[in-house]
Amino acid sequence: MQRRDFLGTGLALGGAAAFGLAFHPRLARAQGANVIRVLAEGAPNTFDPAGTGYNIPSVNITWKVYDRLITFGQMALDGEGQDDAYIYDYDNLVPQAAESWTVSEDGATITFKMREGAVFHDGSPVTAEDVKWSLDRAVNVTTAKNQMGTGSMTDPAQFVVVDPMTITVTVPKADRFTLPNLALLFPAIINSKLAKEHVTAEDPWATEWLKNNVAGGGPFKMGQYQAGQQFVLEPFAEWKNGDRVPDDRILYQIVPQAASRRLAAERGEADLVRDLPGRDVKDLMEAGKVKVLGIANPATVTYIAMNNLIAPFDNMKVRQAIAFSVPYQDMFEAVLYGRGNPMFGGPAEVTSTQWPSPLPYSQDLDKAKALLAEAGFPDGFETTFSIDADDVTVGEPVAILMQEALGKIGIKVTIDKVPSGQMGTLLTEKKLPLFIANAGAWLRSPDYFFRIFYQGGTRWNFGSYESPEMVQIVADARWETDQAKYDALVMRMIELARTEVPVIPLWSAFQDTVVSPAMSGYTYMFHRSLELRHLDKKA
Amino acid sequence: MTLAADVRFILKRNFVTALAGVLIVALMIIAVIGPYVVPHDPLSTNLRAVLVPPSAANWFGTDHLGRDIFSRVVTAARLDFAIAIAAVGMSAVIGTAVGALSGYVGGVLDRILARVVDVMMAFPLFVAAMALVAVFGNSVQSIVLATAIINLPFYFRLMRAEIAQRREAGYVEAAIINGNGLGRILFRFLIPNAMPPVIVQISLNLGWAILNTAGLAFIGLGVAPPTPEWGIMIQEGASVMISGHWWVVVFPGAALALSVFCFSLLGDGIRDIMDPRRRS
Amino acid sequence: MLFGVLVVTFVLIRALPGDPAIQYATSPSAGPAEIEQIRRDLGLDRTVIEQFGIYLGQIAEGDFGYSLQTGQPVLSDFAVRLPATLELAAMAFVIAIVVSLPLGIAAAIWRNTWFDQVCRVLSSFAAAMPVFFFGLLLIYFFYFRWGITSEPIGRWPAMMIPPIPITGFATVDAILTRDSSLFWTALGKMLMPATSMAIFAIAPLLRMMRGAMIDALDSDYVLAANAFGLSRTKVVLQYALPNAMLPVLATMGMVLSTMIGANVMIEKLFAWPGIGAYAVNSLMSLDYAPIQAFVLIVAVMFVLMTLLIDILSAAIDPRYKLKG
Repeated sequence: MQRRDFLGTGLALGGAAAFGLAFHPRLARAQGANVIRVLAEGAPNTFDPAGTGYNIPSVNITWKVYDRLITFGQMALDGEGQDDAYIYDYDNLVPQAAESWTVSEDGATITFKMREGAVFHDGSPVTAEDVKWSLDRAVNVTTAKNQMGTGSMTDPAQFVVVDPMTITVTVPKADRFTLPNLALLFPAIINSKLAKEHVTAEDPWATEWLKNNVAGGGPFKMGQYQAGQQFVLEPFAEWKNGDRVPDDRILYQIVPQAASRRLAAERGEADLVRDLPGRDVKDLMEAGKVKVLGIANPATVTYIAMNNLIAPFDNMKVRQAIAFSVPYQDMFEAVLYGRGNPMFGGPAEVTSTQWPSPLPYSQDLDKAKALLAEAGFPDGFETTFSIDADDVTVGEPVAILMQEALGKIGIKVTIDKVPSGQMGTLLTEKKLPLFIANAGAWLRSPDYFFRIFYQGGTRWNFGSYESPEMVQIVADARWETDQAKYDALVMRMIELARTEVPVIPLWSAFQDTVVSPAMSGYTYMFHRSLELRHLDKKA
Repeated sequence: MTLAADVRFILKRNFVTALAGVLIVALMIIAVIGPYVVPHDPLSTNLRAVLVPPSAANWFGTDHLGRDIFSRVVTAARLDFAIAIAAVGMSAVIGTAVGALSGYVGGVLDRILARVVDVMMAFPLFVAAMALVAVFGNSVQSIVLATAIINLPFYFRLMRAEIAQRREAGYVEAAIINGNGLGRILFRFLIPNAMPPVIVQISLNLGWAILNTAGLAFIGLGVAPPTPEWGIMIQEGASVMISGHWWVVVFPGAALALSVFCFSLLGDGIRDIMDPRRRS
Repeated sequence: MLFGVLVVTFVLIRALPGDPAIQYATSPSAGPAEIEQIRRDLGLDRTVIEQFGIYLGQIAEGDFGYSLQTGQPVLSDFAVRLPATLELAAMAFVIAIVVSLPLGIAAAIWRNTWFDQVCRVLSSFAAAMPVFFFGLLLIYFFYFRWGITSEPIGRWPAMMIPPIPITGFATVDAILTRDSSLFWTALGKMLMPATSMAIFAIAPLLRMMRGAMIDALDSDYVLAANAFGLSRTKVVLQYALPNAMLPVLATMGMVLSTMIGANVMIEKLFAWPGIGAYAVNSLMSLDYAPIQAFVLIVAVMFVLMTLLIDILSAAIDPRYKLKG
């Protein structure tokens, strides 16, 4: 720690002496009472909330400059050191651009009342027409339409403007995912008058224009933007769609190097630092000078995935053998530095519908060997473990530890580092036998989770798991309204996931954020990007 | 003068070269027998002893997974040398053969080939190597192939120039009059005479190929973990260097630099020996 | 030649394994239909020949396309990054020349003395030093151990708001705005990456300078000049040096163009926002347009460099025939 303390002061002085750094007038300007300085790794690539090929950092813009009809409420966290920090409440939807809404008797029609006096950034009122155009757009553009479909919204005819301040959304039959879907990223309310000016015959949804321009009415306005370097979000003083109008300006800077972000966090030069590796977070916490909020997204899990379509992973005993050979605890400590919730070492019996929850596995090489022998592979076999070449901090050490552990039960593993551009293709084509995967579900109902990750033909079914029973019960649960029956189905899904282990959940990693002492109101959102409107910086 | 005396004379005047040669032989021996005599398994991890500084048990310390760096540095020599030798061998053989043919035959073929090589030379070398590895797939074979391809132009140009110069020489005409075929003239008379600069180029190139391999691995291409390889070890150490764990980077880096250093000295020495102008 | 470069690049990137349409189908519920749609949007459903035709048409209009990764037109990405790369390369080049040319001349004058041997070992050492390893050593000592440089990351101190670029060259901008502290900050940031980059240029320059100088010193006119009893300094600087510069100039061209293309590792190591790191990221994430533009730009610079060297050579030596 001595060394680091020295760095903090000695470096600044040394640097100042050598190159006149610390006294530079520009340095002071970045600080200040009403500027919240955010440091993150990635740069956004679009301003369009449903832009083709949008990346995760762009959510840091689109979530803030646009409103949705409704959004998720927040609840206070109660963990140690988590005072004054919040997480989204999936079960509590609250109004945003809509002032209120009512659901019809049969649950198939939802009527939204717009808020009087609410305006877009250009001052024009937010009307039902804008909502209609925005929702029409969401069910039409490539990126959004499938997601909207999961909430039974597929056709513009489902959105009807009743009067300038009222709009109805009608679905074929009551769907528990309609409302939550309206609170996601894609159905953002766009200023349709503005956007329509840029509509062309080939581009009916103004995608080209919205990519580089904002037509929103969210709590923040787009300020200065320097691609790949930084941008400023200005608070929108006339914002009426939430309980509190933000009053701090956000300076979002892209700092690709983790070491640099860590340094800034250490020296208290930033208000909010994201995307730090576990080792750095652990060091920072031990040094105790900053506040680290480690919040796990309950629906985000890191897996070791096995391709259930390819022998020998089509054999349940083989999968179980591998599940018993993973050095969970070692990995958890040495790779993740304990920054997450374990998904291993759980109880033997399924006791609740809570999912994801720990599986009943821990390392037991004798059991693994026995299972492998039962499966007909007493001498093991050879396979390849693929990792994303960019995933150096987690993927690589996990792969190396897996290789060693599997070697002990006779399975010879070759590690293949796949350039990240190819990883998606290989996953989609279902070509990889064994790999590491990390993904989260936006909607938190267990059946939704199993629908995405434990069945179907998309890349998200990492195990390429094809169990007729799973497919059946997931389909049954889709429209089940009886809570007891629904719970029974979910219990069965969990049982299948535990015994058949198509994929081996390792942990649910924390989204670690370093916050300065002056900050309050940090909120964690489902999309894992920043939710800034509750943030407040003490002067 | 006898051959031995000749050698002695040359070595005396080229002490540094001789030293480099001896070091290279030593490195080669390490590369061959090293993996059998290292004190630890270079792949075995020990999560209870990560990032341990150099000590009696781990001479070069341990890395972020508790692997013994000394064992890994020694084991890596074989792979790095093998890649360099294979790649340079490949480009030298193909490059000189095609270059010789082009230079001797001349005409349209020569012009086309020269154009192709011009295009190859216009690519930034390292980026071209990266792209090739990415295209061929992320493996050691790809590194060999990519390194061989980006080196081809140098051998081609060298040989082409040498041959074009000698094409009109008296001994070649004599050979033609004696009824020798194209292949025989090229391989029997022309190429052997044009070899000295190629040999110099090879010795200089070997060091460069090692650097290139390590560079690609440093960027994350080609060599899959946990294979010990100097470039990848440096890359793994880079993230902890800034927090003071110097040994993870310094030892593989030093091994890499030493190897290239020796090849480079040897190459210079050979050039001095072969270039009579420089031999006083 | 440039056309050849275009063709090869175009074909090569399309030979990369992996499908950009899938890579950019980032929606969590993207299915085959979405992927197909994105493929159409990107124009990748056409044949390679058709794509190439379209591409040529766009280039002719000065349109280099969009980067999928940054969401910006490739040209504006380059407008920001190219100056960063050029500035760094220029500084590295200056460092390399300042170190290697005097040493090379001195080594030639005091040929076969201990000084010459030291220079030889030095140049071999520099040639053997992997740039990324050297960079890490610099970071370790100058930043971590002694703390005399600012953090080895990026072009600007992390806590500073980058100034609005005028030319994009930080030092030039600082001079234009008469901001001396900005100038020193920018220069200070460049010192470590530029030194790391210079290391590989030192060996070829030093060797070529020494070799060329020896040839020049041994030539008849220098011997004649010596015989006339001209002062040693005058002989070396006025007679030998200009003649020795010709081959050195050619090496300089080679070194400079290598620097611009091969600075990938340094840019990655120091998080320098230049074109090398940008090209690598694009390569890894199947972002076709920026890679194509990168290779084209580097090739054009290579051609210009060759031309410049030619012109300079002709200026130095009237006997030199212009190739272009």
